[in-house]
Amino acid sequence: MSKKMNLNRRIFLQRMLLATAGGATFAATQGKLQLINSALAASTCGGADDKKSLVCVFLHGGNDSFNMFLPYEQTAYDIYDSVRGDLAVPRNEILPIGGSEYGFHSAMAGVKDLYDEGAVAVIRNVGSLIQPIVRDEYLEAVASRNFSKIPEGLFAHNHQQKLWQTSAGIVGGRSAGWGGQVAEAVAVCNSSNNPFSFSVSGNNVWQTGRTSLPMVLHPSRSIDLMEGYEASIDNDSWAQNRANLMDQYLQEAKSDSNFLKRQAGNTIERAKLSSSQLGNILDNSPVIQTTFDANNDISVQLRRVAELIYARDTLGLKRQIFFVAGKGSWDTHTGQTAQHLELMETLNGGLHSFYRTLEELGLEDSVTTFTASDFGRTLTSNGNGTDHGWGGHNLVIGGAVKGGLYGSMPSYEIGGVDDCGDKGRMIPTLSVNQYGATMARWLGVSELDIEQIFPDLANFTSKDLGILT
Amino acid sequence: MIHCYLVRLAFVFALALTLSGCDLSLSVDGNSGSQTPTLTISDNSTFEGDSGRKPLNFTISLNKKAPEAVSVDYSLTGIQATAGSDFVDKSGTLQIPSGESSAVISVEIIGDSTEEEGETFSLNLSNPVNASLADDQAIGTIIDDDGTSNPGVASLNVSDSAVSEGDSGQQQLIFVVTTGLAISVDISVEYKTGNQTATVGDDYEAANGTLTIPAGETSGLISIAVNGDTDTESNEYFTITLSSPVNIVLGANFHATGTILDDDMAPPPPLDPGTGVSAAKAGRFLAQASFGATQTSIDELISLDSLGQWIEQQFAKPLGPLQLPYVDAHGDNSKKWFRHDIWWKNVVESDDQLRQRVTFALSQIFVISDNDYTLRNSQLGVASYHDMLYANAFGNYRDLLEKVTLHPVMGIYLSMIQNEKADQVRNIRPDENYAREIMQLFSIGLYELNIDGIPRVGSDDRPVPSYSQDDIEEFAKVYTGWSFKGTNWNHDAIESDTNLTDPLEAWQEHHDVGEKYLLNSVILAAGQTAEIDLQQALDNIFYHQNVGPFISKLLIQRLVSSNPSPAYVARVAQYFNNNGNGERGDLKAVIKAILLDEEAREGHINMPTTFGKLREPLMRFSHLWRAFNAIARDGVNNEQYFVQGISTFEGDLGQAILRSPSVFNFYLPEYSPPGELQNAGLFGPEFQIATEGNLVNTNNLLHEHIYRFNNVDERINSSSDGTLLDLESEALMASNIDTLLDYLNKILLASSMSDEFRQNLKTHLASITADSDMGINRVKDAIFMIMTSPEYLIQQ
Repeated sequence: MSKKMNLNRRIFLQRMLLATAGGATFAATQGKLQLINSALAASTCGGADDKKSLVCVFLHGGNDSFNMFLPYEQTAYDIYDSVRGDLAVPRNEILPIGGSEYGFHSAMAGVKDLYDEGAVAVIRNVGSLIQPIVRDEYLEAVASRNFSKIPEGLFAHNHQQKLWQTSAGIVGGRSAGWGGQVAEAVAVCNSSNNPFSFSVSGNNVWQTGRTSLPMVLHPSRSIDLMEGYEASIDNDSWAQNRANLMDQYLQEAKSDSNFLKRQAGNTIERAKLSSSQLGNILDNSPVIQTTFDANNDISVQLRRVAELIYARDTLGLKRQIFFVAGKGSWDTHTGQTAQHLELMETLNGGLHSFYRTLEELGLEDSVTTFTASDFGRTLTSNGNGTDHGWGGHNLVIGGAVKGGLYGSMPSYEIGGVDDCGDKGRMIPTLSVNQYGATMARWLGVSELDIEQIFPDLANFTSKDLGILT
Repeated sequence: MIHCYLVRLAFVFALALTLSGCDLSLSVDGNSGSQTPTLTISDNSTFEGDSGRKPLNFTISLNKKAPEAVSVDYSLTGIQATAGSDFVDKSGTLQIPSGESSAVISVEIIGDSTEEEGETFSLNLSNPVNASLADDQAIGTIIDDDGTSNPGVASLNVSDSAVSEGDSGQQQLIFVVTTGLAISVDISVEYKTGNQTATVGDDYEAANGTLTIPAGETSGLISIAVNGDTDTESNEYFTITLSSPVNIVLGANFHATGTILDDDMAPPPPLDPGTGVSAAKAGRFLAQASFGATQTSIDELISLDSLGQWIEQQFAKPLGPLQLPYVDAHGDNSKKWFRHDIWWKNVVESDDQLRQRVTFALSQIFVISDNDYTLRNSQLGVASYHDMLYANAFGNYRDLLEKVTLHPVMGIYLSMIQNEKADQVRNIRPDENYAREIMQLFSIGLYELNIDGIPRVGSDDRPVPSYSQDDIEEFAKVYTGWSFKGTNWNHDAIESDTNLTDPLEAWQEHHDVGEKYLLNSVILAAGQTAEIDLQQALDNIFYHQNVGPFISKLLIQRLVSSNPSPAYVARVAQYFNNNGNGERGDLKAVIKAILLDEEAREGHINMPTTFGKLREPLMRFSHLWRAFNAIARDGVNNEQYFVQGISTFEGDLGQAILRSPSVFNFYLPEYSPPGELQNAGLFGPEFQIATEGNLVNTNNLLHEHIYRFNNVDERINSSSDGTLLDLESEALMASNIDTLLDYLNKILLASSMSDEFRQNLKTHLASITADSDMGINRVKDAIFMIMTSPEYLIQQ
């Protein structure tokens, strides 16, 4: 069977499934997805103890990662310093790493400790790419208005978020995120029908698969049962009647002639299932000794993720996918120095306490956490902030990570070989395809599926960053 | 006209020249021209004032950007005016850095209160380096403002004008320039036309001249020739700008728009006035045009028997209570709940429901959010911003766009505040934030659109971008030089005396005065003020063909349906482009066109599978509270009007007024969940926040609000704060289940309840046994089960 037929057959089967299930509901369809996947794809699930959880920390707005991981060696620092002007981090606020060529911003001290322990890979200058492209090719393509080699909607938040999260080069090219497609591929490894792809920061493209959605939970609230649908929580004698009838309305809505009503029925049903499936699980969360800052948005979300990872045995899950997000204030057009410092402290606090918690629970080797963001930012300053760029540095953290530096540091020369114009927007030298495929492979996704999920991976010589064991 | 992609880097210049379809004058904008640039200088004049000193600025312009730094010596020579008593003498060498195309020399004028003749002096240029002099002298006129005939308040203003183009030959489009007062000397002013969507030579003849208004006259006319045609096309626009006034100063309206009215296109389709209003028709309409139907509003509409007349009545209502006075009286910049309280009170209680609903829609297009740390402690400013949207909801889109742009909290949120021109010494260049988002989100969107909202596709099979990164960098220069009113340039946004309510003010010295290359090949001249550049740039955006379909579709999605047909979008966009009287951007015409369109009125019958939208979480609560006559309990220890614990409440819903996660609103207009909706190419924006967590919490909050208060005694005597329903009359109906269901069906479901739904609900309610609480128990179950049902959740 050819690859193409293989994929088409799977999509066909999934559409059949949709027709029977009436819509995209993870909880309701996952068991069936599993059958489809086990028949066709070949995700590697390993032995009973081969449990793996992947966590995406998405920094909405565009992290100025060129001030998070920096040159420290004097000559390189001086170039950085002159290009960034007022926004340059003073050299004495950089924590040099082994070799003293580079370092982390002092706000990232906790992550720097993890780096020293060998648990952090710094992936330099990664971004959305259709194929490798150099400055002259880029300029020629723009001047001739031939955009086929250039990712669509560069420098626009929503489009670059979408390209990062779908790994596609074209916005309209696909709707499914690579996290969601990876989830669909590894669903076969889970022995239960319980949800295993969770967002604690709202709906997102990354976890939206071809047919499935993540379960979206509040990061800190308890998960309550749904009033009306659950007779057990009401004391009136007609509660069961009411619950039956409300459920009947959902079922009827699923066959309504109107698309939106059917979607509403499916959506409420999914909410109802999530509350009944997960409420008890979180009630039995472990007592975590590691300190989490309750005022740190990223910490709060990662704490909930730690609880859900801890619960994976009880839930019958060997694979889990999580989405955590920093909010829009990473878009530091103004007041950057103070604001970015605060944001990095948030990221650092969250990542550090999360990793220490996993160590406390003995789970650190089976959890990989990575950062992603809309884009890097301009090296040049607009007076007290930066604007939308392209490539940027990202972090991959976990016990399975081979710590170190990956990719290459771009030239910080304005209008130089790595600048796509004259404002210091760095052309990435590693693509989201390579970055994502590396995570997918670690979770056991087959090469066949990886080719389908990351369609432009074929345009890159290296298919794996080699950072995960 | 093809918009040429600008390539400004010297070494790719050769490549730019090979482009076809480009206006080469744009491409030559770079550092590459072989000829030495030429320098020109403009005359200017000012009133002298009675005392102190005031600047009179002269702009020295290059005909292109300086490839190398240009310098020129300058000096002043008195004619009637005397150095030292009328102006402060100065001389020196002016520098124009490479890459710039203009600079300003500022002369200080000394005020007095002596009646005298107008006085002049000359500004002389010499010894140019790296440039040649096309003009070596400018005349500065100091206008006397002390005589009875020169009261010093006259200024030149020009009004917008329009003319029908005719089928052939030329028509004259007349601009009237007024002085406001008769003046005892001749005055003159230069004028120049500029393209917007109209094209010189094709649609009108360019004009660049001097208008003289003789002494004693109060107005003059500028006549521009317009060429007739028989093409069916949109109205077309060009601008006229006054400059270099002699013996007078320019007023606020120194810039106007000429509209060439197309007389070949069929007028927009007539709107169905919508008579024969039944309860069902009223209920459906009020779901789109208000914060929820009620018995009273349905009855009113039935007795009026005209949807069109109801809309006109709503348009005519005076403004209701504003947010700012309430927030100012009760709270301060850091207390956000008062802003939410007054919003809830207004949307639930006030009778200008259409304005409230449209304001809410606009707040989801022109987004600011106090969820962002920059506005968290600017609540008075956020309230003022809401008031501005509310006051302009029935105005013109162009005015709204300007008020949005210059509102200080928008300035903070999208960092236009204190945006500075490029400075090579400090190694900085303008902030691109506002330049990008005003185009992407507030006006034209990312792709070229046809009038029906469908993107145009290019030869590479991709949608055609409506602007490039270079365009954004050009617009970024426009938005330089603005800061808070009445304080220093660098005034901090979080100071207690920061003006968060009045429009931003321009600081010319921080404004980039170079040429700016905008959309549709429009070029802003070098040396203009920040105010002129802003006016012309906003016009440039406003007249882009995308605005009509882009804004119309967003408003349709917020009010009526997630998936409007292209034909519906096109019909509304036609009203945006021309309200029937030649006005573009009239929001009243757009709103009326949206609500009276046959698709809005009959979509549930004509396109039953796709019509409608998911009700927004806030609107489920506003409907509950409006329909059941909620009263707010104003407790002893707080002033919270409708909701206790507003953060938790609205956090659970996933929606709160001016509190979205980012400038991309609570949801994207093109959000589509995977599954059959996505497979069918349909959108469901509100489903983006219909997450498991939000749905469970919203469901449980509705339960709490419906079930906890159930009779008059509790309404009056309860010691807790919060919002209480009045279910007394409904409880009295409940002994007859059909009566109760008829009533709830009318006000909650626009009489659309399916037979199956009704039969099952009736059976269930009948099983609630007869005791003293039977009535209220039946009512609570009925309301809860209807308002959580998928039938209710999709507004049709």
